[in-house]
Amino acid sequence: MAIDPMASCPSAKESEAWMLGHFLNHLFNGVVLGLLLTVIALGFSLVLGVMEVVNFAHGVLFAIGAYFAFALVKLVGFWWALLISPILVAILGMILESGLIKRIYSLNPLYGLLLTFSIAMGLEGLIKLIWGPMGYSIPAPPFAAGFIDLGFVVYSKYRFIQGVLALFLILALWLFLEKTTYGAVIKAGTISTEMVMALGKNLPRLRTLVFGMGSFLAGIAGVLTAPMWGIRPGIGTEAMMPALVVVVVGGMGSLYGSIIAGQLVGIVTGLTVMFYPRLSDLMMYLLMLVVFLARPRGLMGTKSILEE
Amino acid sequence: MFCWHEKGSVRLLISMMVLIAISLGGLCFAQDTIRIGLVGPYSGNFSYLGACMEQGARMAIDPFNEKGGILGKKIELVIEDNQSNAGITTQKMMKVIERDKVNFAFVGGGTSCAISAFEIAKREKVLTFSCDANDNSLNGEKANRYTFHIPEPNYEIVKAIAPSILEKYGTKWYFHTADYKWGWDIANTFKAFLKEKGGAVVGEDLIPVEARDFSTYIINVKNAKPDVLVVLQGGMSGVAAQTQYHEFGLAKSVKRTHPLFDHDLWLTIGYDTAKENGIGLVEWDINIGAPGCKEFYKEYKRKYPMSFVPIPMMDTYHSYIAVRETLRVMAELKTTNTQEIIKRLEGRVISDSLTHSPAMIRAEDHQYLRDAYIFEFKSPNEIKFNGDWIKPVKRVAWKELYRPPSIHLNQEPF
Repeated sequence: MAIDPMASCPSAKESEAWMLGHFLNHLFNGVVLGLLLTVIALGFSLVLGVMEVVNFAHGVLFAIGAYFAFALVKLVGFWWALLISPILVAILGMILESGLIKRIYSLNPLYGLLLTFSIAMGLEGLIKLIWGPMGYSIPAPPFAAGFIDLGFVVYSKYRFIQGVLALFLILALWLFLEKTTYGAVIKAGTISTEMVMALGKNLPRLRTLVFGMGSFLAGIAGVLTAPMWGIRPGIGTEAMMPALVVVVVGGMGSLYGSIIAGQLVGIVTGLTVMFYPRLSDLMMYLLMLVVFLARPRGLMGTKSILEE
Repeated sequence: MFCWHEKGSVRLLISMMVLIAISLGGLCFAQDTIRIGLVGPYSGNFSYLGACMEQGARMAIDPFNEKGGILGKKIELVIEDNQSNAGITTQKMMKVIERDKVNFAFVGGGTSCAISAFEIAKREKVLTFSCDANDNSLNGEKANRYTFHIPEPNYEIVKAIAPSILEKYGTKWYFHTADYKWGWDIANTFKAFLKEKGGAVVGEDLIPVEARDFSTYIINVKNAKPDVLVVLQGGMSGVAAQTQYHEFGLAKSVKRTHPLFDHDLWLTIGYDTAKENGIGLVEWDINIGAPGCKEFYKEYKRKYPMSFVPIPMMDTYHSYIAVRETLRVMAELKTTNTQEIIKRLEGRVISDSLTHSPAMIRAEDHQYLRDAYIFEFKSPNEIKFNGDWIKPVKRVAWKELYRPPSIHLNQEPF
């Protein structure tokens, strides 16, 4: 049964519209991915900035957020799971900080790295023990399922909502840091924890709060991405690596840097998929390399004395 | 420097002697047991498969151990996680062979892992089964006298299901192909079939294995307007793909099929998403209605009441068959000699294979031959328990399915 090869050839105008729609689709994907990566990276960056701890457990907290949501969705629905799950992850984070991580602040930074890495391995093992090694999925909430068809571009409703929620989170964090007293204290903590202590602020409580905030951001990102990526024990690593790239590109401890870098990484990855999908993961590492070579401190990191 | 009069030195010496004693003790223990190596994925893209393979192996081992073992020796399973990675598979195979002295091994984690294991099997002369890969080369150019392949090869999968896809959906196909060996192999096999039948490939996307964003590929297939989208994805990529097809409401505009539809995939994505896939092929399932299936399911539930997988999967079945038949041969021949066991496995007919026709291990290419089953999803009111989602609509007997062997391993020297 022969097929007419000319039957489905589009006209030039249809081709142009298709290309534009295709490009916009990838661009939107990149922007949304960038916003999600920014949310994850901000949590990591906060902990790094205030506590000077490279928190390798950040990825597994992302995964735990997704698993909590999986357990809660059947009981309370998606939106309540979106609210409750990150709060539970934040509580877990604060317990980890006050129980374990606070013991290594005065020690060599390598200890923090080792400890958080061990916590990550342990928690991943716990995930497998409780939920098993098999994957799960959470469907998008009913009103967010389906797509928006603008004619020249078709886009997933859920992704659109993801992007809006991620933007809302970033804005809320910015408002908290910029417009509240406690936010000012946290920002001061990223510059000098000794000065914060000298001014009479409760540093241990500050650190616990910041770790809780970082965990909350990881957890909520886990819930938001679960309907798209699926859930499995190792999903934290998939989120962690791009987040690390965002932090390095943006500048260690720089919140604005993480926001800009998140968009850069997201858009570069999203647009690469359009042309050569096999390179999409590699592109963000190439971007990191280029930024690292041109400006080692990252786009908005603090200049070191050695650069003078 | 060691000094007798120093306490620390004496403690060190005693510790070393204890360690040596434990190691030697371990070796002694190993000689009193029959050891089976499971090199499978407990992490990575197929992280659940290792556990499923273990379940099948233990279901085969336990009846022998309950009767005192074989040749007076208990049977022990040695497990190593290959993380679905070919390089790690090589290391773990060497570990189970050199350190644990396994009598035979079985491997999972995909085609590349199976190929790596087959190379080791040949070099080290250790009987090895592939239990979850489907590449055509595994009963072809990559096979050797020491290897056996249990799952159906891609050629036979395509031959079984492609006619049904053509009949049900039409002749314009679009492929979402996993961008690695298995994906290329099965896609090429499908395309060759389609071309032979006068159909057309209207598009294909090669999707990286770890891809998690399928939106661009979904847009591509919507624009191409095929009769059917043929999804050739596995593991968590398959989950992400199916989840996002559902997210985009793809089923409203494009029919799709996921030909090799593993249990883990549709259990993970849920019934509503799974049933959008129309028909599929299952290598084995408790619902095929073959003799012994119900009993196997009951035994599985008795042994694993809290399992994360509510029903035994294909990989559970494959491991069960591989291990059970090897142990049976050991018991029949009263030997653990690898070459004797291989000769007995070649051409072995298995009447209690949990399929309609008795299965066979073909002597020439060491391929396990069994019937294939095309299924569709049950309606909600037909489902009796969790996992009871599919019903067979067509059985293809293996005698009509398998092409002649391309190699003659049974004529090769050991």
